Amino acid sequence: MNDDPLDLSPIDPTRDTERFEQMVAAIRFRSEAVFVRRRRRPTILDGVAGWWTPALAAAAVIAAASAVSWIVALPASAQQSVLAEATGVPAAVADWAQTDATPSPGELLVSLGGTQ
Amino acid sequence: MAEETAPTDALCVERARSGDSAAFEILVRRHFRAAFSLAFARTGNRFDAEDVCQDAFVAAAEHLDQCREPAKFAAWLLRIVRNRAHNLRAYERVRAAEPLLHDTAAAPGVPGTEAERAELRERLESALQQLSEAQRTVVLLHDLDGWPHKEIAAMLGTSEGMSRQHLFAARRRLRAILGRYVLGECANE
Repeated sequence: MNDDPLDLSPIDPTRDTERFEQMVAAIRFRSEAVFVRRRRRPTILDGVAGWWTPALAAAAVIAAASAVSWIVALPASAQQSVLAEATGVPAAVADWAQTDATPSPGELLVSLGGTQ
Repeated sequence: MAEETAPTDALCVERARSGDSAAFEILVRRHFRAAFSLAFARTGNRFDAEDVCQDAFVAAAEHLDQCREPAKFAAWLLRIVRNRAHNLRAYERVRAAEPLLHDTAAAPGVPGTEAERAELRERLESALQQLSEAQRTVVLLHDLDGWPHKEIAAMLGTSEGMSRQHLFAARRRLRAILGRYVLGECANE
Protein backbone atom coordinates (compact mmCIF):
# COMPACT_ATOMS: atom_id res chain seq x y z
CA MET A 1 0.00 0.00 0.00
CA ASN A 2 1.24 3.51 -0.84
CA ASP A 3 2.32 5.23 2.36
CA ASP A 4 4.45 7.98 0.87
CA PRO A 5 4.21 11.43 2.40
CA LEU A 6 1.34 13.53 1.10
CA ASP A 7 1.98 16.86 -0.51
CA LEU A 8 0.05 19.20 1.74
CA SER A 9 1.68 22.33 0.37
CA PRO A 10 -1.63 23.79 -0.91
CA ILE A 11 -2.52 24.60 2.69
CA ASP A 12 0.99 25.68 3.66
CA PRO A 13 0.50 29.10 5.32
CA THR A 14 3.92 30.25 4.12
CA ARG A 15 3.17 29.43 0.49
CA ASP A 16 1.27 32.65 -0.19
CA THR A 17 4.24 34.90 0.49
CA GLU A 18 2.26 38.14 0.58
CA ARG A 19 -0.30 36.81 3.02
CA PHE A 20 2.38 35.23 5.18
CA GLU A 21 4.36 38.47 5.35
CA GLN A 22 1.18 40.28 6.40
CA MET A 23 0.73 37.84 9.27
CA VAL A 24 4.36 38.20 10.34
CA ALA A 25 4.00 41.99 10.18
CA ALA A 26 0.84 41.81 12.28
CA ILE A 27 2.63 39.74 14.93
CA ARG A 28 5.57 42.16 14.82
CA PHE A 29 3.24 45.16 15.22
CA ARG A 30 1.25 43.63 18.08
CA SER A 31 4.32 42.53 20.03
CA GLU A 32 6.48 45.60 19.39
CA ALA A 33 5.56 47.26 22.69
CA VAL A 34 6.81 44.20 24.55
CA PHE A 35 10.23 44.42 22.93
CA VAL A 36 10.46 48.18 23.40
CA ARG A 37 9.83 47.62 27.11
CA ARG A 38 12.46 44.87 27.22
CA ARG A 39 15.01 47.03 25.40
CA ARG A 40 14.58 50.00 27.74
CA ARG A 41 17.45 50.12 30.22
CA PRO A 42 16.29 50.30 33.82
CA THR A 43 16.96 53.73 35.40
CA ILE A 44 17.63 54.56 39.06
CA LEU A 45 14.00 55.63 39.35
CA ASP A 46 12.89 52.22 38.05
CA GLY A 47 15.02 50.62 40.77
CA VAL A 48 13.56 52.86 43.45
CA ALA A 49 10.05 52.26 42.13
CA GLY A 50 10.70 48.55 42.18
CA TRP A 51 11.73 48.66 45.84
CA TRP A 52 9.25 51.32 46.98
CA THR A 53 6.17 49.16 47.42
CA PRO A 54 7.77 46.23 49.26
CA ALA A 55 9.84 48.63 51.41
CA LEU A 56 6.71 50.56 52.37
CA ALA A 57 4.86 47.35 53.22
CA ALA A 58 7.77 46.11 55.33
CA ALA A 59 7.96 49.44 57.19
CA ALA A 60 4.23 49.30 57.97
CA VAL A 61 4.54 45.76 59.32
CA ILE A 62 7.55 46.68 61.47
CA ALA A 63 5.79 49.78 62.84
CA ALA A 64 2.66 47.80 63.70
CA ALA A 65 4.68 45.05 65.37
CA SER A 66 6.72 47.57 67.36
CA ALA A 67 3.61 49.39 68.58
CA VAL A 68 1.95 46.18 69.68
CA SER A 69 5.03 44.89 71.51
CA TRP A 70 5.56 48.29 73.20
CA ILE A 71 1.96 48.41 74.46
CA VAL A 72 2.08 44.79 75.62
CA ALA A 73 5.28 45.51 77.59
CA LEU A 74 3.62 48.34 79.60
CA PRO A 75 1.81 47.72 82.96
CA ALA A 76 -1.95 47.30 82.67
CA SER A 77 -2.80 50.80 83.97
CA ALA A 78 -0.24 52.39 81.70
CA GLN A 79 -1.64 50.42 78.75
CA GLN A 80 -5.07 51.84 79.38
CA SER A 81 -3.82 55.41 79.69
CA VAL A 82 -1.79 54.99 76.51
CA LEU A 83 -4.85 53.69 74.72
CA ALA A 84 -6.93 56.52 76.19
CA GLU A 85 -4.44 59.10 74.96
CA ALA A 86 -4.28 57.46 71.58
CA THR A 87 -8.04 57.60 71.21
CA GLY A 88 -8.25 61.21 72.51
CA VAL A 89 -9.92 60.49 75.86
CA PRO A 90 -8.74 62.96 78.57
CA ALA A 91 -6.52 61.33 81.21
CA ALA A 92 -8.80 62.41 84.07
CA VAL A 93 -11.82 60.74 82.45
CA ALA A 94 -9.80 57.58 81.90
CA ASP A 95 -8.83 57.61 85.62
CA TRP A 96 -12.50 57.94 86.71
CA ALA A 97 -13.41 55.04 84.44
CA GLN A 98 -10.68 52.85 85.93
CA THR A 99 -11.40 53.70 89.59
CA ASP A 100 -15.21 53.99 89.43
CA ALA A 101 -14.81 57.39 91.15
CA THR A 102 -17.60 59.93 90.64
CA PRO A 103 -16.29 63.31 89.47
CA SER A 104 -17.74 66.54 90.77
CA PRO A 105 -19.44 68.87 88.27
CA GLY A 106 -16.47 71.23 88.50
CA GLU A 107 -13.98 68.48 87.70
CA LEU A 108 -16.12 67.41 84.76
CA LEU A 109 -16.20 70.94 83.37
CA VAL A 110 -12.43 71.28 83.67
CA SER A 111 -11.58 67.89 82.20
CA LEU A 112 -14.02 68.16 79.29
CA GLY A 113 -12.61 71.49 78.16
CA GLY A 114 -14.62 73.94 80.13
CA THR A 115 -11.89 76.44 80.95
CA GLN A 116 -14.18 79.37 81.80
CA MET B 1 32.20 30.50 1.18
CA ALA B 2 30.86 29.16 4.44
CA GLU B 3 27.21 29.86 5.10
CA GLU B 4 26.27 31.65 8.26
CA THR B 5 24.57 29.16 10.53
CA ALA B 6 21.08 30.02 11.70
CA PRO B 7 20.84 30.91 15.37
CA THR B 8 19.37 28.20 17.56
CA ASP B 9 15.99 28.57 19.20
CA ALA B 10 17.70 28.95 22.57
CA LEU B 11 19.81 31.84 21.31
CA CYS B 12 16.83 33.51 19.65
CA VAL B 13 14.80 33.24 22.85
CA GLU B 14 17.69 34.69 24.85
CA ARG B 15 18.03 37.62 22.44
CA ALA B 16 14.28 38.18 22.29
CA ARG B 17 14.17 38.34 26.07
CA SER B 18 16.66 41.19 25.86
CA GLY B 19 14.37 43.04 23.48
CA ASP B 20 15.64 41.83 20.11
CA SER B 21 12.46 41.69 18.04
CA ALA B 22 14.38 40.45 14.99
CA ALA B 23 15.39 37.34 16.93
CA PHE B 24 11.76 36.74 17.80
CA GLU B 25 10.81 37.14 14.15
CA ILE B 26 13.21 34.33 13.30
CA LEU B 27 11.26 32.13 15.71
CA VAL B 28 7.98 33.22 14.14
CA ARG B 29 9.13 32.34 10.63
CA ARG B 30 10.73 29.11 11.77
CA HIS B 31 7.75 27.77 13.70
CA PHE B 32 4.75 29.32 12.01
CA ARG B 33 4.05 26.24 9.91
CA ALA B 34 4.08 23.93 12.93
CA ALA B 35 1.89 26.32 14.89
CA PHE B 36 -0.50 26.52 11.96
CA SER B 37 -0.56 22.73 11.62
CA LEU B 38 -1.64 22.28 15.20
CA ALA B 39 -4.08 25.18 15.13
CA PHE B 40 -5.65 23.89 11.94
CA ALA B 41 -5.88 20.39 13.38
CA ARG B 42 -7.74 21.85 16.35
CA THR B 43 -10.00 24.37 14.64
CA GLY B 44 -10.45 22.73 11.24
CA ASN B 45 -10.54 26.19 9.69
CA ARG B 46 -7.61 27.90 7.99
CA PHE B 47 -8.65 31.43 8.92
CA ASP B 48 -9.24 30.53 12.54
CA ALA B 49 -5.91 28.71 12.56
CA GLU B 50 -4.11 31.79 11.27
CA ASP B 51 -5.78 33.95 13.93
CA VAL B 52 -4.82 31.45 16.61
CA CYS B 53 -1.21 31.46 15.41
CA GLN B 54 -0.97 35.23 15.51
CA ASP B 55 -2.49 35.39 18.99
CA ALA B 56 -0.21 32.60 20.18
CA PHE B 57 2.96 34.28 18.93
CA VAL B 58 1.97 37.59 20.52
CA ALA B 59 1.26 35.77 23.79
CA ALA B 60 4.61 33.97 23.47
CA ALA B 61 6.38 37.31 23.07
CA GLU B 62 4.67 38.66 26.18
CA HIS B 63 5.41 35.62 28.33
CA LEU B 64 8.81 34.68 26.95
CA ASP B 65 10.29 34.73 30.46
CA GLN B 66 8.07 31.76 31.31
CA CYS B 67 9.72 29.57 28.67
CA ARG B 68 11.83 27.49 31.04
CA GLU B 69 13.65 25.54 28.35
CA PRO B 70 14.47 27.93 25.49
CA ALA B 71 15.87 25.04 23.45
CA LYS B 72 12.36 23.58 23.48
CA PHE B 73 10.67 26.79 22.40
CA ALA B 74 8.60 24.98 19.78
CA ALA B 75 7.03 22.63 22.29
CA TRP B 76 6.28 25.54 24.62
CA LEU B 77 4.79 27.56 21.76
CA LEU B 78 2.58 24.68 20.68
CA ARG B 79 1.14 24.43 24.17
CA ILE B 80 0.06 28.06 23.82
CA VAL B 81 -1.34 27.34 20.37
CA ARG B 82 -3.26 24.36 21.68
CA ASN B 83 -4.80 26.37 24.52
CA ARG B 84 -5.72 29.25 22.25
CA ALA B 85 -7.27 26.94 19.69
CA HIS B 86 -9.18 25.14 22.42
CA ASN B 87 -10.56 28.43 23.72
CA LEU B 88 -11.49 29.60 20.25
CA ARG B 89 -13.23 26.35 19.48
CA ALA B 90 -15.12 26.46 22.74
CA TYR B 91 -16.43 29.94 22.02
CA GLU B 92 -16.98 29.65 18.30
CA ARG B 93 -18.27 26.15 17.74
CA VAL B 94 -20.90 27.33 15.31
CA ARG B 95 -18.50 29.33 13.22
CA ALA B 96 -15.93 26.55 13.24
CA ALA B 97 -18.53 24.15 11.89
CA GLU B 98 -19.33 26.29 8.85
CA PRO B 99 -18.14 25.02 5.49
CA LEU B 100 -15.17 26.77 3.93
CA LEU B 101 -17.10 28.12 0.97
CA HIS B 102 -15.98 31.69 1.67
CA ASP B 103 -12.45 30.56 1.02
CA THR B 104 -12.98 30.61 -2.72
CA ALA B 105 -12.77 34.39 -2.97
CA ALA B 106 -9.67 34.14 -5.10
CA ALA B 107 -11.23 31.82 -7.63
CA PRO B 108 -13.24 34.17 -9.86
CA GLY B 109 -11.23 36.08 -12.42
CA VAL B 110 -7.85 34.53 -11.59
CA PRO B 111 -5.73 32.53 -13.96
CA GLY B 112 -6.45 28.82 -14.29
CA THR B 113 -3.51 27.58 -12.27
CA GLU B 114 -4.42 29.85 -9.36
CA ALA B 115 -8.04 28.74 -9.48
CA GLU B 116 -6.92 25.12 -9.53
CA ARG B 117 -4.73 25.73 -6.51
CA ALA B 118 -7.61 27.36 -4.68
CA GLU B 119 -9.85 24.41 -5.50
CA LEU B 120 -7.20 21.95 -4.44
CA ARG B 121 -6.67 23.79 -1.18
CA GLU B 122 -10.37 23.81 -0.53
CA ARG B 123 -10.66 20.09 -1.19
CA LEU B 124 -7.66 19.36 0.97
CA GLU B 125 -9.06 21.41 3.86
CA SER B 126 -12.40 19.70 3.51
CA ALA B 127 -10.75 16.28 3.47
CA LEU B 128 -8.65 17.12 6.51
CA GLN B 129 -11.80 18.03 8.39
CA GLN B 130 -12.97 14.46 7.96
CA LEU B 131 -10.01 13.11 9.95
CA SER B 132 -9.87 12.82 13.69
CA GLU B 133 -8.06 15.62 15.47
CA ALA B 134 -5.14 13.38 16.34
CA GLN B 135 -4.84 12.21 12.73
CA ARG B 136 -4.94 15.80 11.46
CA THR B 137 -2.31 16.88 13.97
CA VAL B 138 0.06 14.08 13.07
CA VAL B 139 -0.31 14.28 9.30
CA LEU B 140 0.02 18.07 9.27
CA LEU B 141 3.04 18.21 11.55
CA HIS B 142 4.71 15.28 9.79
CA ASP B 143 3.91 15.88 6.14
CA LEU B 144 3.61 19.67 6.16
CA ASP B 145 6.34 20.67 8.61
CA GLY B 146 8.51 17.55 8.68
CA TRP B 147 8.28 16.80 12.39
CA PRO B 148 9.66 13.38 13.39
CA HIS B 149 7.36 10.95 15.19
CA LYS B 150 9.39 11.24 18.36
CA GLU B 151 8.65 14.96 18.71
CA ILE B 152 5.02 14.59 17.66
CA ALA B 153 4.53 11.85 20.21
CA ALA B 154 6.14 13.96 22.94
CA MET B 155 3.94 16.90 22.06
CA LEU B 156 0.78 14.82 22.00
CA GLY B 157 1.74 12.83 25.07
CA THR B 158 1.50 9.53 23.23
CA SER B 159 3.86 6.87 21.86
CA GLU B 160 5.79 6.97 18.63
CA GLY B 161 3.93 3.85 17.52
CA MET B 162 0.59 5.58 18.01
CA SER B 163 1.85 8.58 16.08
CA ARG B 164 2.79 6.28 13.18
CA GLN B 165 -0.62 4.65 13.30
CA HIS B 166 -2.35 8.03 13.17
CA LEU B 167 -0.19 9.05 10.22
CA PHE B 168 -0.87 5.84 8.33
CA ALA B 169 -4.63 6.10 8.90
CA ALA B 170 -4.67 9.79 7.99
CA ARG B 171 -2.83 9.28 4.72
CA ARG B 172 -5.01 6.36 3.75
CA ARG B 173 -8.17 8.31 4.47
CA LEU B 174 -6.97 11.42 2.66
CA ARG B 175 -6.01 9.37 -0.39
CA ALA B 176 -9.42 7.72 -0.36
CA ILE B 177 -11.19 11.10 -0.14
CA LEU B 178 -9.02 13.07 -2.50
CA GLY B 179 -8.18 10.42 -5.05
CA ARG B 180 -6.33 11.97 -7.92
CA TYR B 181 -6.42 15.42 -6.34
CA VAL B 182 -3.55 14.59 -4.04
CA LEU B 183 -0.73 16.78 -5.21
CA GLY B 184 2.51 15.12 -6.08
CA GLU B 185 0.76 11.93 -7.06
CA CYS B 186 -1.04 13.46 -10.05
CA ALA B 187 2.31 14.11 -11.66
CA ASN B 188 3.27 10.46 -11.33
CA GLU B 189 0.15 9.17 -13.00
